[in-house]
Amino acid sequence: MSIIRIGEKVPSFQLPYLNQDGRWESDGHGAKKVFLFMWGSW
Amino acid sequence: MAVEAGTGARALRYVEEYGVEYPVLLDADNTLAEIFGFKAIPNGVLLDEGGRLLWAEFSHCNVEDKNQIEGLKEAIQVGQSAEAVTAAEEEGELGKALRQAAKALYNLGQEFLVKGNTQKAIEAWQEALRYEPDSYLIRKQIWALRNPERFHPTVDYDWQRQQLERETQDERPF
Repeated sequence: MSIIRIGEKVPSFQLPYLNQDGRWESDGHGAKKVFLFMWGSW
Repeated sequence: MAVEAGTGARALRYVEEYGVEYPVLLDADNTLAEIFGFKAIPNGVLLDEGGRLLWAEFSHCNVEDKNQIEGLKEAIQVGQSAEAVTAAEEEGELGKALRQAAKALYNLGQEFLVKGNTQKAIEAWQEALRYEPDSYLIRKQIWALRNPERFHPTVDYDWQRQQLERETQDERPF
């Protein structure tokens, strides 16, 4: 199991996102400073 | 980011019901769990423009926790948090093999779910739990399919605690 420590680079990943029409769409995005909050409906 | 097996329909319903306005990604294959090594949510991570990890809180990320918010603000301003955060302990070769087996079975269950075969999805995920019994990501997916009334319109956490006790007494992990 990988350990990502502060300051280390996270492997790149691509996931579908919810577009304005309410559909899941896969597309490339440029790198930005981003906060990811991971949740589930459970 | 919605960590949700299946087509994203449940996550979409949640987004619509609660009026979520921030961009939402769908992690149906537990891709982020593979990268960071977490077994439960909610989690929060901050990445900079170069993809470096600046801040992280796993399993109990809480936007109402003042300490966490202060740490996050510091990371945004300074560039990284003062403390190193790790999501998982070191694992040996056996642990790695067990996790990979669980992942393969989880993906199989995901395929069954997308094709509409809920029973086969549950069976595959139950087998996955034998290899990774401490994965709440897998366990809760099973619970949500079998007991949807315990998750919507509100999540019954007391029921989850009791269910976990019942299940772990009977399970036979490797």
